[in-house]
Amino acid sequence: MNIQFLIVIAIVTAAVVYALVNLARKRKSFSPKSGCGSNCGCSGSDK
Amino acid sequence: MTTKSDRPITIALAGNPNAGKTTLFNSLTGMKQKVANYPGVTIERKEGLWRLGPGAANLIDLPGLYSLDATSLDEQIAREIITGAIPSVPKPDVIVAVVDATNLERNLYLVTQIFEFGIPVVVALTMIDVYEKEEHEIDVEMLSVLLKAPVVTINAKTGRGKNELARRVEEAIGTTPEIPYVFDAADEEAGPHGKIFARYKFISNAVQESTWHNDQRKHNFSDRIDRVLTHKVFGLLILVAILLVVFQTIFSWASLPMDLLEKGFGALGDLARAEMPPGILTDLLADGIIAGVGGVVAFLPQILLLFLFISLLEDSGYMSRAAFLLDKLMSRVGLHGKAFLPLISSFACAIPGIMATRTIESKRDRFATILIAPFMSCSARLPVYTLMIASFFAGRTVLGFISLGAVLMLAMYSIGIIAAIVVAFLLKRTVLKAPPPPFLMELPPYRLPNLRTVFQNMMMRAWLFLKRAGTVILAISIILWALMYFPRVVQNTPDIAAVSQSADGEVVTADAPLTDSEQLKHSYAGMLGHTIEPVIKPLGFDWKIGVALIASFAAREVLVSTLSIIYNVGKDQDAGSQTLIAAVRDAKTDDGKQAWTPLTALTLMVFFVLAMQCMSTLAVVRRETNSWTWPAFMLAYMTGFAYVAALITYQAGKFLGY
Repeated sequence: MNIQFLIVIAIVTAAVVYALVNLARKRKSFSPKSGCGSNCGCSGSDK
Repeated sequence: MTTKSDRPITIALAGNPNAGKTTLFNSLTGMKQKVANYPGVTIERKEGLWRLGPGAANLIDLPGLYSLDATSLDEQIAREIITGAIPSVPKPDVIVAVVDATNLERNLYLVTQIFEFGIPVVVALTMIDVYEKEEHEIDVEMLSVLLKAPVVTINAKTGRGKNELARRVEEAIGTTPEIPYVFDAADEEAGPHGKIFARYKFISNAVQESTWHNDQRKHNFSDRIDRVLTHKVFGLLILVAILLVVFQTIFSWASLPMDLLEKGFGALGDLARAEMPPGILTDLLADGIIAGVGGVVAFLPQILLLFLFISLLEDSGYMSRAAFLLDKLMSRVGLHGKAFLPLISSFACAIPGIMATRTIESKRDRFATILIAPFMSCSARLPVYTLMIASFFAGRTVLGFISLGAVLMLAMYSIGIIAAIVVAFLLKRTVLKAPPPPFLMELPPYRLPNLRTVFQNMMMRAWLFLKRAGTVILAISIILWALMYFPRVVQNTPDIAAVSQSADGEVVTADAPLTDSEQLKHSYAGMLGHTIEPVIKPLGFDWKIGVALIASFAAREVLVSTLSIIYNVGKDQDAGSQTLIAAVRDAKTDDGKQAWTPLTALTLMVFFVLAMQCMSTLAVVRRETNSWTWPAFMLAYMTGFAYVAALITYQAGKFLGY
C-alpha cells in the first residue's frame, strides 16, 4: 500500500463523510418542527 | 441601539407586495436579498442590521401583504410578527410602512390597520420617481399631518431619503402613535365591514387633500404595451419569439467561453498527468476531480446568461405578463391564479418555487402547485440539455435561420409546462379536488431593468452554482470515481518474458491489468449499471448512461460530471484528450456500437424534463407538506411519467426510422 493509495483513501472517505453529514443536516433542517403546525419555516433558524 | 429595557431595537418593514420593501431592506442593511418587479418575492421574513444612530437596530423585512386580515401562510407570518405573536421575535418598536406612491390608496389601507395596533409608524414613500415622472404631485407634509405620522420620500437605489428615514425612526421610538381617525357608533354597529368603509373613507379624503393628478398623464403607456403583450394570440406569439431569442442567444454567446472552459479543464487534467507520477492519486485528480467538477463548471456561461435574461424579464415587468397569458389556461385546469409565481420561480430552482406556494390560501391548491412545480425546467437541467444539444444538434437550423438547439430548448421548457398543466388537471379532479378561488392578478408597471439588481441576481446564481460544484458535486464526483475505479481487477495471462526465463520451459502466468474500459466494466459502478441495463435498454440507454442516470438522482447536473468521469476513467491509454462533447459523440457500447444517437439524446432530455431527480426538492416537499406521503408520491409518479414518456419517444423514433 503506497502513499498515493493512502491519500486517495483519505480523500474518498472525506467525500463520503461530507456527503453523509450533508444528507443528515438536510434531513434535520427540512424536518417539520414540533408545535409549529402548518406554519413551518417561520422560525428564525430556518433559512 | 437598545430600548430603555436594554433590549435591541426591532424595526419591521411592512407594506403591499411589490412596494419596494426588499429593495429598501437591501439598501438599509447592505444585504443582497432577491428583489424583482412582481409581487410576492419575499415569502419568509428576512433579518439584517441597520446602522441607526450610535448603534444598530434589528431590521425585519416582512412578506408583502394587502391587509392584516391574514388568509395565506405568508400573510399570517407578517401579521404574527407585527402583533408580537411569535415568542422568539420581539414585537417591533417601530414599523416602517413602505408605501408605493403610484398606488397610494390601496397601500394606505394596510397602514391604517397597522395604526390600530399601537406601534409607532413611519411611512416610507417609494416609487416617488415614477410618480413624479407621470407629472403627479404629492404634498408630503400634508399627508404626514393627515396621517399623524412622519412621511419620508425614499429612493433606495439613489439613497435619497435614507438619512431622513433613520432620523424619523429614531424620533419615533418609544412614542405613542395616534390613530388619525375614529370609528363612530355606526361603524362599530356595522361590524367588520363598517370599519373597512371607515378606513377607506379616511384614506380617500387624505389622498384627495394631499395629491394632485395630471389628467393629461401618459399612464396609458403600460396599458398600450399590454394590449399587445397580453393579447391572447399576439401575446403568445411574442412570448414564443422572446424565448427563442433568449435560447438562441444563450447558445451562440455561451459557446466560446464554454469551449474555452472545457479546453482549460482538459489542459489542467493533462498537466496533472504530465507533472504527477503515474498512480492512483493522479487518476483521482485527473479523471475524478478535474473531469467531474470541470465538466459541470464548463456550463457556467450558460447559467450566467440564463439568469441575465430571467432577471431582465423579471425586472422589466414582462414576467408577470407571461404569467397572465398562461393564467387563463391554468385556471381552466383548476389551478389557483397565485400558482404563477411559484411556477415562475421554479424555472430557476424548484425549492424557492415550492416555498413560494405559501401565498396560496387553500391547502389543496397549494399541494397541487407543489406537486407540479418540479416540472418547470430548472437551471440544473440546463447543463444536461446543453450537452445533448451541443453534441448532436449544434449548427443545424429550422426554416433556415432559427437554431435547432433553441427550438429544442423551447420544446423542453414547453413539455415541462404542458406536463404540469396535464398533471394539475388530473390532480384537481381526483386527489386534490377543490374549486379554484377567484384571483385578481396585479400587473406591475413596465420599467427599465435595474442593472445593479440584474447583476446582483446573476452573481448570486453564479456563486450558488460554483459553490455547489465545489462542495456537493466535488464530493459526489470523488465517490463516483471510486465506484468506477474499484475493485481493480487483474487477469491471468501468459507472460512471454517469464516463459523465456523459465528453466524447465514451463509456462509461467503473471497478473496483468485490464484495459481501462474493461476495468470500468468490472467496477462497482459497472456492476450497478449492468444490473439496471435491462430496465433502461428499451429507452436506448446503455449501462454507462444508466450509471449517470442513477447518480443524477442526487442532483440533475451530476449526470454531466458522471459522464465526464465515466468517459475519462474508461478511456484507454491510446485515446487522446478530448472534450466531453466529443467523448459523448464517440462513446461506444460494449458491443462496439455508437452509444449515443440524436434519438438517444432527445430521449434523455425528455426523461430529464419529467423525472424527479433532486433530493433537496424532495426534502423541501417533505417539510412543506409535513408528510412523507407527498414526496414519495411525487418521486413515484414523476419518475414513472418520465420513463413512459422517454420510452414512447425512443420507440416512436425507432419506428419512424431515426
